[in-house]
Amino acid sequence: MQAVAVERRRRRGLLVAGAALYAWVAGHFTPFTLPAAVVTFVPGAIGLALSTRLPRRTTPRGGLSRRVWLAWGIGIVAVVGLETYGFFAGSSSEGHPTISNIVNHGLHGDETRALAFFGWLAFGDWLLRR
Amino acid sequence: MTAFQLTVAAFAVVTVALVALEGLARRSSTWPQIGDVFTVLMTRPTGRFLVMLGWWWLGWHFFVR
Repeated sequence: MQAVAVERRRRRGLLVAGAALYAWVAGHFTPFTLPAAVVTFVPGAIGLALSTRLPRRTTPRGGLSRRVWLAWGIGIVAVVGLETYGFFAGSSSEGHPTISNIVNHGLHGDETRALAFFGWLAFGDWLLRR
Repeated sequence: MTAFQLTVAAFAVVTVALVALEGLARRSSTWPQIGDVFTVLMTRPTGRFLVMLGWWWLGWHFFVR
C-alpha cells in the first residue's frame, strides 16, 4: 500500500518536472510563430483527447446553496460578457480591452510567459481530474 | 474615467468578487466552490469536451495569438 503511494508520488513528481521543463521551453518561443503554435497545440490536443477517454474522478456534491450557485453563474456570465463586449468593441489597449489585452503586458518576458504556460498546463490537469 | 479604465475596473471588480466567493465557499460546507462548478459543467461528456476546448482556446489566445 505504501509502495503504491510512493510510486504515485514519484510519477506525479516526474509529471510536474516534465511540465515545468516543457513550459520553460514554450515560454521562450515568440508568439505568432510556428514553434509557439506547435508547443501550445500539442498539450491542447492531448488534453482534449484525454477528456473523452479518462473516467470521471469526482461526483457533484448535493445539497449546496442555490444562491451561491446563482452567484457563480452571475460572475461567470459577467466575465464572458465583458470579454465578448471587449472583443466586439474592437479589443484594443485603449478602448475596451479583452483579458488578453490586459494580460499581454505581463506576458512580454520569457520567464513570466513560461510561468503562465505552466499555470495553463496545471489548470488543464486540474480540469482533467474533475 | 476612460473606457479602458472602466473596463479594467469592471474586470478587477468581477475577479475580486469571484476570488472572495471562492474564499468564503472554502470556509463553508454548503457553498459550492469553483471545483464544484467545473465538476457540474463536466458531468456530461459534451460538457467535458467543451470545457477542455475552452481551456485549449485560452492557451492559444494567450501564447500563440
